[in-house]
Amino acid sequence: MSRRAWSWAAAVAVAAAAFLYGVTAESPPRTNADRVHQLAQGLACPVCAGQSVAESDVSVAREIRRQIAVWVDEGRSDAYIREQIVSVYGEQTDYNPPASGLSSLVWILPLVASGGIGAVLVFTLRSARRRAAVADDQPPRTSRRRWRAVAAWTAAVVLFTAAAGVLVARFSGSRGVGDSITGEIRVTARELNFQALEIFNEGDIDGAIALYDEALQQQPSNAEALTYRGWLTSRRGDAPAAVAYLDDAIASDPDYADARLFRAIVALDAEDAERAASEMAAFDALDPSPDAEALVAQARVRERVAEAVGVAALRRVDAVYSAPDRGAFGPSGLTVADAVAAAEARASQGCEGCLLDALQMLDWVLESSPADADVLAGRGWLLVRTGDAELLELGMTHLDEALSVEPARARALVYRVFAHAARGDTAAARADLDAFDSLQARPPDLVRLIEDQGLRTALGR
Amino acid sequence: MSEPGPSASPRRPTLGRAVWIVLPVAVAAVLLVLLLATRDTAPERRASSPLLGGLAPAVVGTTTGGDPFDLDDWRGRWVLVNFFSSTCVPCVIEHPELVEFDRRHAETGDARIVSVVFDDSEDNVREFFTVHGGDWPVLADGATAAAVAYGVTGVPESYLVAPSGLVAWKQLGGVTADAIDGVIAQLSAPA
Repeated sequence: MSRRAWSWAAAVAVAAAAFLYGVTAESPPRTNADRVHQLAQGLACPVCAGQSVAESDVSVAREIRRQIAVWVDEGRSDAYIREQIVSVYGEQTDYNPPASGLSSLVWILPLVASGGIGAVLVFTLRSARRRAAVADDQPPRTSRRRWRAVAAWTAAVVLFTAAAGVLVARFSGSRGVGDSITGEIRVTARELNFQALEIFNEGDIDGAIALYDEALQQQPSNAEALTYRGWLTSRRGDAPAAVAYLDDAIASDPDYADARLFRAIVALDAEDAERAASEMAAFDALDPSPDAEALVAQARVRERVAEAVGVAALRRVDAVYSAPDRGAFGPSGLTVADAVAAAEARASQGCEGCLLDALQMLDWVLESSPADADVLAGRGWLLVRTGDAELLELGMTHLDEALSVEPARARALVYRVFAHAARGDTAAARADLDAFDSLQARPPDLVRLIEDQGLRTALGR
Repeated sequence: MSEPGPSASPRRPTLGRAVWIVLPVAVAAVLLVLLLATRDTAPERRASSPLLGGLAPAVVGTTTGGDPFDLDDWRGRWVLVNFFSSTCVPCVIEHPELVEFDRRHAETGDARIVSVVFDDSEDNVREFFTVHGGDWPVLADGATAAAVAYGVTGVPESYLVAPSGLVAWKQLGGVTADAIDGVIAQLSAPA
């Protein structure tokens, strides 16, 4: 073997040994703490100059390290963790930058530079050989031909190394956020729910259903997806399936107000007044969003529930009350709430004699429970809301009687506020309103009644 | 004295070699200037956020009061997600503005605040609220995940989440009640 060949062989051997050492020397981290440190070393601190997240002691670096530790403990991949940080704090935090935009120069330029250096070496060696050839009286190339050759070689080398750089960048750069190794895009159930609501608002119900189904595949107990899947199913007319979805949503998250509201509406559609009322009571006890409240107002859900409850109560009470051999209310098994709701429903029918019939229904209850504050208040309210001056006075006596039995009875207090206001006795109305406001438990329907009628504004409260 | 012969005459300097050296440097310099001129300044980059206009990252965890908290439960309202620390002076200065903002919206409930603890202890934060007031939720457990998800780099830092769930506005440094209400009014106005 010639001396030159030995030199080349030695160079290749040294390069191979260096490569092998580089590969084997990088042993994987042994503990989670090692992995956290390694990941933190690969990320630049977002607010420090030239320090990694591992090195810096500013607050943001400490928080990022804590979060990396959480992700490592959860078993997340390195790629996932890097993506999460880089997607929010920017590509400049990635010491292993992606192969897009200006960052790709990081991958391309070293190869171009290497190629350039190689080209310079080749041309230097060739020049040396040419000089040797001139010395041996070989005919030299002309200057113009020499420069043309140099330009051609340089262009070829730059093109080749640039292309190689692009390829390296493409295969070595980071994947985009949300992309899996296989190229599949990961979207969370939360994001799917959001997208579904967006396209539902644009009128694409089928598209929204498909996205909710996808969200439920990822997370079968996702209350939001179950709720809206149920709601859209009910809009498609499949009530049993809608009920199943909504009941699952409530079982998954009993405090999700939207599920309660949609379940109430579905129950109303099925004429299940009791269920609708209980779901609306649960809805009111939660913290519904303004959007949900707007839907309640727009769809008159509360009014429809009250009507349905009244109609159902009237049906039950009337079955006993109108029977030819009617006995006393006490042993009938009916409740006072049923009787009051039935009387209100009867009075609301607005027919001739309906009010009288409603009052007589309550008188029948009072025969068994003469001092029941709710019945007395209910009877008083039926009379007060007629607007008739004489009946107003009569109603006032019932309300006074109810409050003499139970001075803190919320319903009687509120009805008497209206009665005082109708009589023009603002001071008395304010006193009763203050008494109501001081109660610990204020029924939501009474609070809304006061607000809806603008009573506070009228009384300056 | 004899005159110097032709072989001793000085060589005329040629421009060719200098051009080959200067030209690439000049091109690189021009490209660098163009690059810098077309990029946002550092403060602009910090004030912008990849989150703006996107779905607000989750804010889930337990408050200093021990209650569970999930930002999604407040969908349908404006929510100010405020990252703070009890040891940060601008946070102390900002706090009365948050109290005022909370007071303005307490009755209607159309806008709420959730504070997220940033690199601070729960005990410090409890004392901070006892001294400076405010009874909105303060996320402690889960705060780190939220801070990293929002890309918080320092405190105070606030994000306004629209009723739709999208991040509508970001503020580096202290906020004022008027500024937040101004943004809400501007974004709520019909287009």
